[in-house]
Amino acid sequence: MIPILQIILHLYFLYVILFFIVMNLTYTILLTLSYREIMKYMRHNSFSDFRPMLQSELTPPVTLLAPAYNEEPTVVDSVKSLLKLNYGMYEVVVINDGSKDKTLDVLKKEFELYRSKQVYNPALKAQAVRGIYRSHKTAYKNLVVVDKENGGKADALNVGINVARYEYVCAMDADSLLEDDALQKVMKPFLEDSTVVASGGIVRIANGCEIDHGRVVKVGLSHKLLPLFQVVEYFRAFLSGRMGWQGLNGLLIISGAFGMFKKSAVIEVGGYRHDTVGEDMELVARLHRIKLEKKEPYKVIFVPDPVCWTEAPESLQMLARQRNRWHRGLLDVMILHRKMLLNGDYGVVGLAAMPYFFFVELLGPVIEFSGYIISIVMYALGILNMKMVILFFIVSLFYGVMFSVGGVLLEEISFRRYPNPKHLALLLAMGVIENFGYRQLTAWWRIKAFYDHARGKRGWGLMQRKGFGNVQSS
Amino acid sequence: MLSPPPMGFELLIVLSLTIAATMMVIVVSLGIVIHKVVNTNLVRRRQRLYSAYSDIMAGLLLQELPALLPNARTSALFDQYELMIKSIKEQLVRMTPARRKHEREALRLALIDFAKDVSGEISDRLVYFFYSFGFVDEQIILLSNRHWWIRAQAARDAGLLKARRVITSLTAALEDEHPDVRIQAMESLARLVGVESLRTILRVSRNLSQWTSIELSTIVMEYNEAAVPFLVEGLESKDQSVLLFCIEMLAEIGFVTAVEPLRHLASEYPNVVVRAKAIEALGRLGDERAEVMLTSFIDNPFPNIRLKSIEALGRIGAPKAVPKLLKRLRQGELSEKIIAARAIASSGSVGMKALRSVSVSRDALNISVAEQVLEEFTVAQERT
Amino acid sequence: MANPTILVAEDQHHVRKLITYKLENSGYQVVTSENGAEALEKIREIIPTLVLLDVMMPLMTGFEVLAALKQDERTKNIPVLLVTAQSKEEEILRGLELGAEDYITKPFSPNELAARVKKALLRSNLKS
Repeated sequence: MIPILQIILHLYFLYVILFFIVMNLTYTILLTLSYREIMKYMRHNSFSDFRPMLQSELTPPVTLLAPAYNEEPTVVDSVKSLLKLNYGMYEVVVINDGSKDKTLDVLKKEFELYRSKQVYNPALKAQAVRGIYRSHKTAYKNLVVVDKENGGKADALNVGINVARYEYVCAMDADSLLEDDALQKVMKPFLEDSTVVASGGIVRIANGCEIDHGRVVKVGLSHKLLPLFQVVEYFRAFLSGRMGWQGLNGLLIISGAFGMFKKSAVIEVGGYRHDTVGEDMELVARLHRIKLEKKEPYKVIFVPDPVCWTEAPESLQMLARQRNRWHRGLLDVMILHRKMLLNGDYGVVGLAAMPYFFFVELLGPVIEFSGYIISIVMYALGILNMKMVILFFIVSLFYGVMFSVGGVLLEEISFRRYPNPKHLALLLAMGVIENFGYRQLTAWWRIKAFYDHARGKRGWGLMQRKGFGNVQSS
Repeated sequence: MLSPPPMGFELLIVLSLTIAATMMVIVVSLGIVIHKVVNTNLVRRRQRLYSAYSDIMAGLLLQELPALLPNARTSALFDQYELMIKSIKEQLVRMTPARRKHEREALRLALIDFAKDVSGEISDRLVYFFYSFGFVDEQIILLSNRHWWIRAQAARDAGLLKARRVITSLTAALEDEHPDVRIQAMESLARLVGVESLRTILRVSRNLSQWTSIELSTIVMEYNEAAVPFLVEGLESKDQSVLLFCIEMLAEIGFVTAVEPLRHLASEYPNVVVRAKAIEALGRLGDERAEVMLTSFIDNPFPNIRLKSIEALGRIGAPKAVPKLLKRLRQGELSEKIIAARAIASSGSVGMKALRSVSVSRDALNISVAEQVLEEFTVAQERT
Repeated sequence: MANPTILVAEDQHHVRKLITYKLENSGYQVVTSENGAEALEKIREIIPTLVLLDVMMPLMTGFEVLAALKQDERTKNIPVLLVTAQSKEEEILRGLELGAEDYITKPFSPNELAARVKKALLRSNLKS
């Protein structure tokens, strides 16, 4: 056994362990920050009366953007439920992204659409618009349907922005289920601080919940393992993670499922990019970047209130595709904005947020797997150091448990959407179990994403043919 | 060959760290569960206490008092009130500090609930109780607490106490550094003082955020026309946000006395944004005398002022201004074209005719704009 | 009429207590209910001499109860006083149109309430 090789292996293993320790420290800091921010928000919220917002003429009107691709069976119900939100004046712009099915026809029929002579102003470049439609019926006077050539979700959103009449635009997924007061909650930050350019809220998993007419009427947990793991994951990501970043004004992601933006700011930075699957994160990163470069004050806010529900993939295949897509998107963003990485000119974003996403989120799975592989190699070579292996498993797995549990506990002390103690117990258990198999699986998918990205796989792949939602509508 | 360090010692450290972390997680989880259970119990206890005090207070408030002689001192009435609550006070004094805190809190909440619903002599009795039990002074002290959420809660509660002594402190709270405290103070002052509170609120407020403006607007709209004189006073504010707020409110309430002061602002005020807003307000007030001034602004070099006056003319309907509006439609850029077209369409048959002629003119963009606006109007008419 | 029975329908505990005490002190028998549906049931059962109805109640609003009472032969002649937190004219008019005898707006003075109850009872006495 060559001594040098042994030393290298040992050192590398040590490095892996160190990496995890650093990662855990980061998580701890984020968790603490998140806790503080959530407490702050809840206090602030207890003094918020939303009724004036609903009644006053001063409340700014909002445009909802709902891109749709091959949503024929569900689009009418979705649109109807979007038209019934609890907000003053707002319009719903449905963008039919060149669906191959009868999405447009179904809309035309149900809402009695006529082809409008509205002038189209292509402030953002996008695929050709084939027509703008409005409804004859007074009940649907706030509905606008735009028909365009297929171009992908980002393209559809850009067209929506071009058509939008109001100053604030809200980008959604076709299958997002919004809470009644979602618009109020994500608009409030803009009203309190005029430098806010974007705000997003918590996205929850709808699997297992009772849904009626596009609203979640009873919260429940799925009986299937996969959605349960995802519930815990989302808690970890949203409550333990994003909330913390918001406190530092370093929030790099606003979920594509539901995000509110100042239209002028989005147009100023050039709208969504068409050439990436991580268009939601990319836009926010670009907002940070350009505002920081221009040295203009700005804020990106996260509202830790559940505002949106989405169906999570229930099959391994769907989930794998989703995670693959997310990771490729993340990789895109890291590459496109590598200038910000560890660059002091970009403040918190450059020195904290970007490095976190780069090392922890992007490379994390790679390092974790390399740890597993090194262990096996060392075992095969007979130089396995048990102590180090135990240490490795502890730092990589055990603390993962803590943060998942932390996320669930944060939810329990704040929003309590899962009041049933049985649910709570189940989620806590999932938080532990998740680290023994599920996590490794998602890590593997994410590693594979590197390979796919290098191979040139850029688009939504098979997803593109079947809709923008996270799950196929079949 | 590297000799591995003694395995036993390090393993021990690692294991103990693990155990420590496990214990931490278990303790925290248990803590939360226990906290939840204790809390439920506490809530139930508080509820019972509250009910008890509520019943007692109902009795005391309704208790018939012996009539006072006509030459009795004014304080004689208060003596009677004091006698009613003497026994409660004695009981409170004998309690442990912790228990006293809970009981006083329940008592205070019970009293506050009554305060919302009763008037007349009973109400006076209630206010006396507030003072006598020390709740009023308590709120005043809390209004200076170092935590903003305590100040905000105090500001909110003060409004329910109907005690005039808090007015000074609430007025000071209008300038609190935290916006939530300021908003609660505004609402409480409005509740205590009525529409007159607007004078102080508008005089003292600075840098109103949109959120605060919205909250304040509900207060103003409740008073409706009664608020107008105070809003007009508010037009003298040096703070632009307050100024814009007052203009907006005056436009919404739509009372004619606002027209003169607004005309003055629209022509004299040094700031472009304010002038534009005043012009918009004039349009919404529907005052035709304003048409002349607005028409003169159509070719103003500031795009803001141009746009606002064209919009305002659209609200009034200005057939005489149509020729000038047509010019803007032809020459302006897209957003100005659309606004001008809408204003033209709102100007009666003269405007409609002019717009239709544009829709058969030669410039493609102008034609599209005209067609869009014509369609908007046709559809709107069909809907009514 | 010996000891008229008054039914008080009010969902807020403290208001209910206040009204009950006042009316009992004034010599009436009081039956209470916490929501509209319960009130309707009890009224039909005991046929009180007078009914005090809060407008904003869960399950059935005061207006709904009033309408139901006026349609029932047994109960349509019972005088009803509405208690409303809104002093909006439309609300009051609506109540009177539906057949309410009188209305009381919150915040109210218990003395005034007692006086109005007395007046309403006298009027209904005169009628029958």
